[in-house]
This record gives sequence, structure tokens and C-alpha cells, in this order.
Amino acid sequence: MASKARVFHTHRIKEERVLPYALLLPSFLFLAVFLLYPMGRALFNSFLNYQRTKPKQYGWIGLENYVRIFTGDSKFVTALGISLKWVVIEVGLQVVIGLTAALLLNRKFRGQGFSRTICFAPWAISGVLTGILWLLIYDDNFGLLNNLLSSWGVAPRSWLGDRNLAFGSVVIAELWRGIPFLAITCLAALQSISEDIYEAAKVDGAGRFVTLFRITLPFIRESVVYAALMRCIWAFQSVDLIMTMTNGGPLGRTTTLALYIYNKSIVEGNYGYGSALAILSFLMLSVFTIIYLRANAFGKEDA
Amino acid sequence: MSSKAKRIAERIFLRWLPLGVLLAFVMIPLLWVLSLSFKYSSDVVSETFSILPNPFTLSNYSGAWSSGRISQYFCNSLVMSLCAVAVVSVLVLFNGYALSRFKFRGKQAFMVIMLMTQMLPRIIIISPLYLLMRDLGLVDRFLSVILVEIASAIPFQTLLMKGFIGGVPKEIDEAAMIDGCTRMQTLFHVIMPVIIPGIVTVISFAFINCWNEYLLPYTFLSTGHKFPISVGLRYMITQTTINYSGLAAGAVIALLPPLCLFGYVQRYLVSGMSAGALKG
Repeated sequence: MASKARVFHTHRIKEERVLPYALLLPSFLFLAVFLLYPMGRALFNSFLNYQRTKPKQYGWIGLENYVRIFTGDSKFVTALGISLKWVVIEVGLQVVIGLTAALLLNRKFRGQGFSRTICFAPWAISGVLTGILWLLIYDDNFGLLNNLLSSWGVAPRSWLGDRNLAFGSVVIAELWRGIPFLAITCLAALQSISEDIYEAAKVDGAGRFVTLFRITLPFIRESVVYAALMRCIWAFQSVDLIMTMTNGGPLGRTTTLALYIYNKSIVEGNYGYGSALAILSFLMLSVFTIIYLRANAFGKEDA
Repeated sequence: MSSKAKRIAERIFLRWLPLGVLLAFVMIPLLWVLSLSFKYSSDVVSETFSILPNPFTLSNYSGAWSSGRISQYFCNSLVMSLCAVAVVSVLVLFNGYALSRFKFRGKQAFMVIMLMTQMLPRIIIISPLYLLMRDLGLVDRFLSVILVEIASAIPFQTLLMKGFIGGVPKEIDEAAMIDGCTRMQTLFHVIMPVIIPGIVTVISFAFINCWNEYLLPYTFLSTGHKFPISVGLRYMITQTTINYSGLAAGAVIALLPPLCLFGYVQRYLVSGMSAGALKG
């Protein structure tokens, strides 16, 4: 009896030790093979002359890809500038409008549930579909916007074909899809603020704006910072909406760095050069992330 | 101004007006695509402009579904998404259990790997992924898309599942194990039934993400009849003559599954998603 119990006991201990690793192993393999290994291979490929169309030139060329990016690639500089503009304007607008939406939807009023559902719905819609929805609005001849404008006597515009308008038009479409994430995150943070604090502020005679800037915003700052960071990385890498709406045009006005990387590596098949561009972007994003988190002193308590 | 008039003005300018603008901004593209999808294509391109479909027709839906390739694209999306979601839900159930119930070496390292891979921009690894699939002989096969979809879904869905399992009191496990259940029996017979809503949430989130996936199938798949609906619709707009009402009908069909699931997960979005995503 006693020995049987002991066997059972040692079995239990062994199970306790091995089981967590066994449970995590399949996921770890997936992450390692399909996310970590490609990252390493991108770094390796960036030191190669590796082009689909010129297999005979395949070989190690050290830092030559990087040197070429910095010395002879004006498209890279342009695309980097467009990416910066894209991320800053896009995330800035998303934060302001998402936060406003969260403040509006946090109050109790009739139709609050319905308003939330509508406002959050674009979250579930893909970049390609968002692109198609907005193409149907921006279309030169049959789009909603030009038809409405001409019925009001305003001259129609080529919203996606005009090089001065295309960028703004795409920003609006991406904003449509990006508001829900910020609104949802801000709303969750707002709901974690205790009612007592507002009561206390009221007793102390704080007005609407003092309450907003002195209590509400400082309280949700950490969540907003984190959400904005996620959106920056997301906005930087997202290509599906731009591909659908303009595919980088007109005249490269909407070619972000991400789209340039895709065109170089997948469309042209220059895997080496494309990887060097990708690694550079990764480094820039990492540096940005570290500075951003340091500046906001995020995660101090956790670390 | 009397205080009552002031309060009414405040209500209008600080609540109803901005709210109305916001809702209109979100709804107009959706209502417009719906309206287009019910118009005859000859009415879309005619000189006279109307906002509402007049006359009204369902022919775009039947046309897109039967003669177009939309039904094929739809089924492809469904097959890829369901395969990926099935694997993901089992894997993250394991992960969530391991991370919320065991103390072991390397736990912190696994969490760090997950957070890193969650932040890793897809565009950076797309060309090595394509080369990997080429080497594995998986290019132009559903499996290539499914495998990467699974890997990409693991980090976020694990955090979500960890939250749900962490919400179940540990005493329930202990009671079951004193009664002689093994760890796996405890997971499947005791914990799983309690967190069914959580599992459905994870499945819905994962399905929406897989359904919306574009870059992977666009890069890996080359044969038209294998495209998921995201890639198929993108090809429809690159053609020289676009059938606008047909495209609109296809877009509405593609919108329906994620929007329906959204209706379910919406109540978890505010509480669940932020807790899962932010607090880890």
C-alpha cells in the first residue's frame, strides 16, 4: 500500500516537472520556426547578394547592401520620410479621435450600447476590405464623394490619383479602421477609474476641464502610451490597405518603407537587399520603442 | 444665459454633435457599400446619381456567388481559417494552463519570446518566410498560410487564455487532483467546462484575424482558385473594367463573418481584450 502510494507520488512530482514544458513545446516550435528563424534568416540574407533573377551572383557580400541603401538609394530616403509622416499623422489622429470617442462613450446615455457597437465595428474589418469600402467612396466617376460634391456644385477631384490628395485620402481610410483600437483601450482604462475620485473632485469644486486634465488623462496615460506604441508599430508595417487603394502611387506619394520593402524583396525578388531594408527598419523600430518606453517610464514597477 | 440653457448647449456641443459626427464617419462607408450592392451595375455607371438603390436588386449577390469566384474564395477562406483556429485553440489552452498553474524555469523567458514575437512586424520576415515555404515545398498550398497564421495567433491568444484560466480559483484544481484526477484530466474535465465563454472568445478573435489575413496568402499562393476572399477581392479591383456593384456585393459577403463574430466578442473587447493584451 505504502509503496504504491509512493510510486504514485513520485509520478506526480515528475508530471509536475515535465508537464509545463510539454504543454508549451508545440507553441514554442511554431514561434521558433515561423517567427524567430525567419528573423535570423532575414539578418543572414541581408549580407548576401541574393536575387531571384540572378542566381549565379549569389554569395556573401558583407555590408554592401547596407552601404548601397545609405549611399545610392534615394527611394529609401523618400519612403522613410513617407513612413514617418504616415506613422506620426496616423497615430496622432487615432489617439486624439480614439480618446475623444472613449470619453463620449464612457458616459451613460440612451443608445450607448448601440453607439459603442457601431464605433468599434471597423476593428473587425480587414485592411483590404477597408480599402475597398473607401475606394467606392473616392472613385473618380462613381464614388460617393465626387457625386455628392458635384450635386452641390463643387468640382470633382481625383482623390487617389492626385499626388497632393492621395496621401490624405489614404490616411482617412486607415484612420477609419484604427479608431476602434484606441477607443477600446482608452475606454477600458477609463472604466478602471473609481467613481470616488470624481466625487471627491466634485466636492472640491473642480470643473469639467480641470477634472479631465488633472484626473482623467493622468490616470489613463499609461494605457494610452502603450496603445499608441502598438499602433505605431502596426501603422509602420501595415501594407494591405495602401496596396489595395493606391499600391504606392501616384508617383510614389504613398509608398511607405514597408511597401518599398515588399516591392524590393517579394515583387522584384531581391531577397538580400530587401532583407537589409527590413533589418534597418527593425533596428529603427527597436530604438524608437526603447526611447519611447524610457521617456514614458513605462513598466517601472513590473521590471 | 440661464444655467438650463447652458446645460442643453453643453449637451449638444460636447456630446451629441461629436457623437453624431463620429457615428456618421464610421457608418457612411458601410451604408454606401450596402447600397451599391443592391443597385444594378448599369445604374451605378449611369449619369444620374442616387444614394439609395432604385430599382432594388439582389442579382449582384446571386451573380457574385454563382458566376463569379466569390463562393470559391469564401470557402478557401473558411477552410484556412478553421484549420488554423482549431490548432490555435488547443495550443493556447495548453499554454494558458501551463502559464497560469505551474511554476517552472524558463517561464519568464517564454513570456518574453511571446511579447517579442507579438511585436515583430510581419513585413520584416515576409521574404524569409516565403523562402522557407519554397524550401519546404509549400508554396501555393493552403498549409503555408495556415502554419504562419497559427504561429502569429499564438502570442495574443495565449495571453487572453491565460487570463481566462487565471480567473478560475486554484482550489478547484486542487480538489479535482485530490480526487485522483491527473493534470490533463483536470484541464479537460474541470477547467475547460468553466471557461467555455473564454474559449469561444479566443476562437472568435483568432477566426477574425485569420479571415482578414491578406499578406500571407497574397505572397504564398499563386493559383487563382486557391485565393482566400481578401486576395480574391483585391484582384477584382486590379482588373481594367471593375463591376462596382458586384465588387460591393463581394465585399458585403466578406464582411459578414467577422462582423457577426464581432457582435459576440464585443462585450469582451473592453474588459477582456485590454486585460489580456495589456497586463500579460
